[in-house]
Amino acid sequence: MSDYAISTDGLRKSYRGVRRRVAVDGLDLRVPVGGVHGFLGPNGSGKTTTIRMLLGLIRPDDGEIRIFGHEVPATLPDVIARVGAIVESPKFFPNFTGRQNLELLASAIGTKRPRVRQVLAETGLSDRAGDRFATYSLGMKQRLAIAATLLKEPDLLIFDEPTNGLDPAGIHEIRTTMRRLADEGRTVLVSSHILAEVEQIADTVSIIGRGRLIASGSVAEIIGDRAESVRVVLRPEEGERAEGVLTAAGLTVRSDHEALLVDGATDPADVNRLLAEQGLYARELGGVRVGLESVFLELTHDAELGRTRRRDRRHGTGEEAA
Amino acid sequence: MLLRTELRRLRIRRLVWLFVVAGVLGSFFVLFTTWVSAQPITDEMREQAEVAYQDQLERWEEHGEEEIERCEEEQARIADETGEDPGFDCADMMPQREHFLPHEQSLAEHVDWSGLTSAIMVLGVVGLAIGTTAVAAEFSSGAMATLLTFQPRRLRVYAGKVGAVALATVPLSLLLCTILGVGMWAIFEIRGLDATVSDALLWTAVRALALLPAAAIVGAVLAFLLRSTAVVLAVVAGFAIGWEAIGVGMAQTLAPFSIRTNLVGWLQYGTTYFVNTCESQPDGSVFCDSTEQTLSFAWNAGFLAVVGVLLIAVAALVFRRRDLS
Ligand SMILES: Nc1ncnc2c1ncn2[C@@H]1O[C@H](COP(=O)(O)OP(=O)(O)OP(=O)(O)O)[C@@H](O)[C@H]1O
Ligand SMILES: [Mg+2]
Repeated sequence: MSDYAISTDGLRKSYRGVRRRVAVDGLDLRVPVGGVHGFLGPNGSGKTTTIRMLLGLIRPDDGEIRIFGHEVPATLPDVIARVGAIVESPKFFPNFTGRQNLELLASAIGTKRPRVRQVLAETGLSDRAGDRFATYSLGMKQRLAIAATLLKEPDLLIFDEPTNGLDPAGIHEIRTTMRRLADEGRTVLVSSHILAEVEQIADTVSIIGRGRLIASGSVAEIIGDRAESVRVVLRPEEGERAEGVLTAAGLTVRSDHEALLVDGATDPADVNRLLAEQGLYARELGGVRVGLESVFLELTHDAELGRTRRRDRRHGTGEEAA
Repeated sequence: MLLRTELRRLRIRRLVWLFVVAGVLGSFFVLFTTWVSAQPITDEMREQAEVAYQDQLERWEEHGEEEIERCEEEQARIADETGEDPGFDCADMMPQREHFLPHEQSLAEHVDWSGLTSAIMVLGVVGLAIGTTAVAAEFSSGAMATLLTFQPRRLRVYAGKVGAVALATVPLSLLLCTILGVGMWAIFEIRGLDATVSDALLWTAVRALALLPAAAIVGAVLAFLLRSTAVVLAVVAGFAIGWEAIGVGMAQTLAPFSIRTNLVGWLQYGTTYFVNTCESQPDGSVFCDSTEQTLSFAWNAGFLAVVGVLLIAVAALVFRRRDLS
């Protein structure tokens, strides 16, 4: 038996088009069994493409996928009963009612009718189950999609940007649902480009950019020693001198508008002392928690930079050769 | 399991019922045109014909001998030139009364001349429409992707959907063929025309039952290949105009490969087509001759089967490997 709910090795996919567009570029993903796993990346980084490959909707060009140890797509039919998924947006027949849509899916996998009633009740859709899918609000469509995934009583749930377009109440509801599903012992993979929401519920995350894995691990691990920084506000003319003092003391300093951010597990009192010794007095001083958001922006930004740098280098060698 | 699911889906699909209604209306329209064209000869027509006949007869009595003479001269001249007897029957030029009466169609003739084509149109269009829209809707709504996350075995999904479309259209085919067949017979009977139903005609009706389900299968398969009703429509229209009308129309030797010709052959138990062969004569004129060629029923059935199986197989292979987004 495998330790991972999902693992991919060297997964690769490019779309044919006017130009070949590499969507997933050698991705090694590990999703542990149990808990909520955030699958993060900016727009166009290849999250949806990866999820489609996991579900056998598109074929990888190269690489290996395993779901609960089963090789995909070759043995996907053996494991699909344990996997519920919503890709991009809920997709059902618009002119059939919610109940009819679920009943069709249930009968396709030989699930009995009472289960349909059960999942409708579970997702709070019983009242509107007789209405056409086209008349549902986005939140209700999303709930119907979740109801559909629950028809199978899956061990692994894959949600691709499930909160897209929802209002705060809807977002909260989906989050609660995902947490509850994970607490029931299922594995939840949730993709998103909005990190704040994943940060709150994810136990582990993988961050991708340009189809490659940039970082993965628990939220705490990724935020790492950036978890706490000290934010200092000084008089504008003293900013530069203060930065010099703190850097000289071996601290990492970033400027953030009118303030300085001092990284590392620093005690605000230490920073205060260092500055005061040089006759610099802070107007404001305090510890701030760095969110996954800023780490994410930093990481994905670095990934972009790395890419351009690589391109520059290639360009350089080209000139040398010529 | 999938087949039952798909049958259920077709049953609750409103568009399917709309096409059922359209098919029934279309069949009644065909019957209406039959009613109009199945004219028995009225007394008035008989009188007019008598007047025209008498008129011609008078003229014949005056100039008949001259005309026979001229005809025979012409015949001799052609025989001299080509060495062949053109075989004008000069003595038969006398007006005959029945030539002035309009032809009274029998049921069998009506079916051969226009009934089959109308039936092919109605049954084909309704079948294609049901098959194509049912499958294309899955692609356009994205429900196909949702279903595949429940049943990733693509060939089963494919077989289920194509099979369901074929089965679901059988009762409709029975209904429409009954309306068309019984309707045409009843019209000829009511009009007091020759409404004899030969065994051959009965078998034609039986074979017609296959048209609608076959068209529905082709529609579904094309939708699997092309994924959109609009594209299927464009391809079918392009094929009908480009190949059937222009291609086969211009080069009749292609008729054995025409879907329309073979469908007619399927219904008539073999069919014929004409090929024009033109030769330049030594004197520079062009002499054209039209020869009738026969297509056997075996050819018709075989050709249609090969085309159908090829389409089904190609679409299955394409769908099995296709990326669905
Ligand atoms: N069907 C397709 N045909 C061609 N290119 C595609 C297709 N789908 C995605 N792409 C391209 O592949 C890349 C990755 O797209 P993908 O949808 O996987 O990103 P994503 O991470 O899901 O983004 P988002 O957060 O916007 O949903 C993009 O550059 C996109 O333009
Ligand atoms: Mg996406």
